[in-house]
Amino acid sequence: MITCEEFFAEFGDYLEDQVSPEVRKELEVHLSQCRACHVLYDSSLKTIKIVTESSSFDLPESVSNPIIDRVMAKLRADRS
Amino acid sequence: MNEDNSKHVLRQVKVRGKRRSHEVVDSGDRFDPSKTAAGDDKSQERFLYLTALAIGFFQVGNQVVTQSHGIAQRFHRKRVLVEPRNAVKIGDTAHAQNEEIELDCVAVMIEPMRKEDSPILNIDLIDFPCKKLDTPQHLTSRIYNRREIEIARRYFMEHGCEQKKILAIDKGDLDGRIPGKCSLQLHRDREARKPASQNEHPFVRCILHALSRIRWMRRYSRSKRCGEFALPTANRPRLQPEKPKTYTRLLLIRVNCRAHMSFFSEVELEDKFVPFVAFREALGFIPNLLHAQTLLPRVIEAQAKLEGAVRLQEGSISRVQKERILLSIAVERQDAYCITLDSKVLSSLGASEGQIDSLLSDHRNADLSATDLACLQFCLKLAGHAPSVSSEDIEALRACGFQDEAIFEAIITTALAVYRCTLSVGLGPEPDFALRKLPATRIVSPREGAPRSSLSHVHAAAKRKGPYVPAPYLSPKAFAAFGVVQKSHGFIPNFFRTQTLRPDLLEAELQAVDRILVPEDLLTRVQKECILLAVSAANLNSYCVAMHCNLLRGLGMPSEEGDQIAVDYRESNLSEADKTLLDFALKLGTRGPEFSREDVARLRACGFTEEQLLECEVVTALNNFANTLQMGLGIEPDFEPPLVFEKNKVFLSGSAQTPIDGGGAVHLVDIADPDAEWVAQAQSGDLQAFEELVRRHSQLIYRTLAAILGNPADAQDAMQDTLLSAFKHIGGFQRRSKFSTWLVSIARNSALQRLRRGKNLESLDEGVYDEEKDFRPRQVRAWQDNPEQFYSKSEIRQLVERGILALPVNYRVVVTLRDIQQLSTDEVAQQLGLSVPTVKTRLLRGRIMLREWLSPHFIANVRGIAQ
Repeated sequence: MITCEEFFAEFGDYLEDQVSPEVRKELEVHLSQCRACHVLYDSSLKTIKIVTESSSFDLPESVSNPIIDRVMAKLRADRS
Repeated sequence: MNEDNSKHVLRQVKVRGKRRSHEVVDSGDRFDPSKTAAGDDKSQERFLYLTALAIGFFQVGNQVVTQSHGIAQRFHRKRVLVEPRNAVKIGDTAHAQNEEIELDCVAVMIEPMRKEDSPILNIDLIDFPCKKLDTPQHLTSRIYNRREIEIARRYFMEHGCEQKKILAIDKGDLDGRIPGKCSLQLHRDREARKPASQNEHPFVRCILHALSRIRWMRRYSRSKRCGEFALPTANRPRLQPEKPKTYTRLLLIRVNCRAHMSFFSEVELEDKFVPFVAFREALGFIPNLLHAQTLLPRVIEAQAKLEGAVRLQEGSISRVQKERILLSIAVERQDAYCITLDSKVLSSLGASEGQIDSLLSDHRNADLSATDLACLQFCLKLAGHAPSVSSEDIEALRACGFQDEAIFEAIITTALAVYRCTLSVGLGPEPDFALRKLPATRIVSPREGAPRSSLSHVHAAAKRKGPYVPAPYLSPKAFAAFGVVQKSHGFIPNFFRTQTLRPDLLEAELQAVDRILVPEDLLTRVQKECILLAVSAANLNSYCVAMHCNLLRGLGMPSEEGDQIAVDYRESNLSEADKTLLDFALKLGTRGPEFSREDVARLRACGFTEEQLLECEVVTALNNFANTLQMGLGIEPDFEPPLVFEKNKVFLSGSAQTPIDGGGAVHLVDIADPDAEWVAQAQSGDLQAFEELVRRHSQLIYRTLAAILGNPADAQDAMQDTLLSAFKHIGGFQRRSKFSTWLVSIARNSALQRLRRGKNLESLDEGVYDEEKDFRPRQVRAWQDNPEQFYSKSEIRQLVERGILALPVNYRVVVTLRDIQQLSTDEVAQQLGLSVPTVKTRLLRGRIMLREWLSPHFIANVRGIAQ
């Protein structure tokens, strides 16, 4: 079985589903037997899901529209 | 001449052709006729300038000669004579107990060769002292056919049979009959005064004697004793029987005798230079292809690593099979040098001349087994038109009974053949043996003369996913070479991961790559990557194009520039010198038959050194090796190739008028960009179009700004600056990238300027934060099954924003664009001007740090509201 260090070296690609079938097999064997790495994997997946669905740094139209309007007004004024 | 002075020796003698540009032997200790013997050290002089002479090196007898054991045994006791075109190794170490033998006469004859004659005589060493030399006397009494030649005030006599004639060594006196050049290099002599133990690196002491070739040939060719020593047989002059009376020994010194030097200068490397030793042991000689690279020993090492692992060992396919592959590909490419060399090697492995002739004329009639024929045809297809190879070809090999390892070896042998042929074209080495001509009845295979590329084949091959052979997992810990790759590339590309079936071959390949690509003492890494990118693009290799675009981005080149090099480097912003270098590489890499010595001269005139050009050629050869291997193994891309490259393949493929060959330029325009229409209108001054664009991308701009500035309020302020700046510069947007990418670059610059104004010197460049090698996730407790269910949406959002803002800026930006804005990794890399590996590294670290920041809120048994 691969070590935790070797698992971590492939971990980024594994999260992105970008590993070859051979590597995936090794990683999954490791995951099934290493609790620490399993926790890392599980919590990382949940982190990604939470962050992806969080709508963080959403710029509401109520904020963006006035900014864009100001810019466009300035540009039109400069042109005229 | 002070005969006891070891400096007074001819360490290196070069006999060069009349058309040789540099006539001065450029180093070593030589004699200067104008100086006293004592002042002769370290002099440089114009040396022999002759082309039609046999050069004899005499050690005249009646003297005690301290010989190493090997010489004594081979030449004294066993009376072994040197055969033409055979390398004979003579012991090269001094022995504590020197054996003393008496040599009546030691002579070396070197005959300048016609271009079609290519004997090389490699005799490693002669070592004998000059003590008590009384050469004129000895020569007078022992040698017939004498002439007198002055070298460094010494008179060496040659007795003429019919008439006496005195020749001075001067180009005016020595008429050249055979055009070309010879290089004689003598090493090591023994200083008699010193004990053997101190004679470890002796230099040859010898007496140079020049005789006319014909006279020598008369003598040696009819001599019973010396008959085996006769040199080339072709066009030998009509000879008269004439038995020499005095030559009782012939001893050949290491001689490199070439009528036709390669395109580059050659320097002397030690006999013990490891690649030379390896080749001498494996083949019995050192191929001129290696001699032609002696300006850069590390590239010889690279080739030796590859050949040693791939070619010179038995594997899942036999050496004979490998040599057949090499020879057939050389034939297909009509590479005279490789044909000659590989025929000889195949012959030495037991192939009959008839079999070799059959391979040369038509491999299909070479009486090969069905499996061997299938393998050969696959390799020829791969070498001839790699993009058309698909998994079906591999399946066909499997159906013939080939195992995966054998298939892998066949593919890498093919790649090696391409590497060697590319080098052979670029270096122009003199053939190692008499040139082997293709039979007049040679059957041209159907592929020859066909268009270089056909997109339908390319697309058909591209449809089937690779890799075609299994690639067992190999951890960087267990396979140290991967650690080197990780360091040089920032990640381990699929290119290497897919070759783990044979770690021994992979390791050799990585060592070769390390010696060719890593040093930056000649060409820079950027120049090398540009060569690799441009030639890969011409070879239609999307994998390598994507790889080198990314590596260039990692080296600081804007992504649009890399993309432009891929489709048409002539329209890029590279310097003219670099474009010329790419012209050179591209011609060598893809249009070998057109390549000539003049191409080298042209680049030299542009200011490139010989070493740089040699390195450029080796990089090009390595590129062709890699392209072939990638196509043969069906290696899956690590990154998306530039869209514009894929789109323009039709122009690059040769099935349409190519921009490179046809003179038309390809610009990175018309990229598939959903904003293209609006951009065109905005560039013509349409404010409404511009407004539409900024409304489309306001979220992207804001998130980029917030991530860099780390403060949503500042981001809102910076947004106005960004939009004004975008409008100001939109006229200069060349549409080499998507508009959104360009807009993010404007936002990024605005944010960084704002940070600098606040003396917050943040940087997003490569390398920052990426050197934390010991980055490791901290242990955390397991999270709950659905942790977000315990928080409201706004609480989650608040938590995530706080967590992201707590990250270092480099990680913050990448996580924001990838996970919140949900761009692909490639897009994030493009928009931030970073390489994909860097983005991946930052993304993983950012995610893990964020996970640790969030953990206290989501671990099992914790309930509560974000604090």
